[in-house]
Amino acid sequence: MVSITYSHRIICDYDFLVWLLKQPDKNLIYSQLLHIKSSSEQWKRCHNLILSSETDNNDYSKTLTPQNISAIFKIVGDPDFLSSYKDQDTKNIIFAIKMADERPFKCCFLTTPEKEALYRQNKHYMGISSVEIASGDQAKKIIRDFFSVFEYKREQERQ
Amino acid sequence: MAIAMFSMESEESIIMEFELSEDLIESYNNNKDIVFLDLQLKNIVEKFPVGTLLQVTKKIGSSIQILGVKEVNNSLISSMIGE
Repeated sequence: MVSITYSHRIICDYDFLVWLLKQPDKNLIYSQLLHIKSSSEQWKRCHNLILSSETDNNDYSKTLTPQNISAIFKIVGDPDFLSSYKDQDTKNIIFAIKMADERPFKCCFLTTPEKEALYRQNKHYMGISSVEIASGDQAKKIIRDFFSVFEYKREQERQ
Repeated sequence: MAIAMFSMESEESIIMEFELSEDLIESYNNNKDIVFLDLQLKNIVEKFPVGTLLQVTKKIGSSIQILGVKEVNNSLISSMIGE
C-alpha cells in the first residue's frame, strides 16, 4: 500500500489556486497535489486544506469549480476560533498555526509571490517556526518533493 | 473529499472521490456496505498496479455502490481544470 507520512500538511489560499492555473505546468502540479492528498497516511483526503472563507466569495467562473478545488484541497468550514479575526490573511495564518498542533506538527502555507510578503509581515506570524510560507518556484519545489516521496514509495511497492 | 454532484429523487447522491486502487479495495474488504456495481468492475480495480490513483464514482443511499472508476491521467486532469 502506498501510504506516506508527509513532513508537512499543506494549506493554501485562493490566490494560490488562481496562480496555479496560470502556470504552464499546471496539469503536473494539479496531478501532484491530487496524489499527495490521496496518499497521506495521517490525513488521507484531508492532508491539503483551504478555508471555505477563501473560496466562498470568489468567482468560480474564472478559476476551478468547487468540485475541482476539493479534489486537491479539502474545503473546510472556518473553525469557530477564527470568528474573532476580521482580516482574511490573519484567518489563514491562525488556521495554519492551529493545524500545526497536530501531526505532523508542521504546515506549508502556499500563496502567491505577491502575497507572501504580506503574510510574512502579519504580526501573528512573527516567531512562528511550524508554518512555512512558500510561493512561486519554492511552492512548486515543495509539491514536487512531496510527490517524489510518493513516486519512490510507489516504485518500491510495485517491485 | 466528497463532492455531491446531484441528489436523486430516491434520496441517493452521486459523489466522486479520488482514491488509490488499493485503498478502494481495502475499504471494500472492511465495510460490507460498500458494493461494486458488478464483479467485473471489482476485478478491474484489483488489476490496477499498486499506487494507481482513481477517480471513483459512488452512489450513496442504503449502501455505497461503486458505479465506475477512471484512472487519473493527463486528459482527465485537463478536463477537470478546464484546459
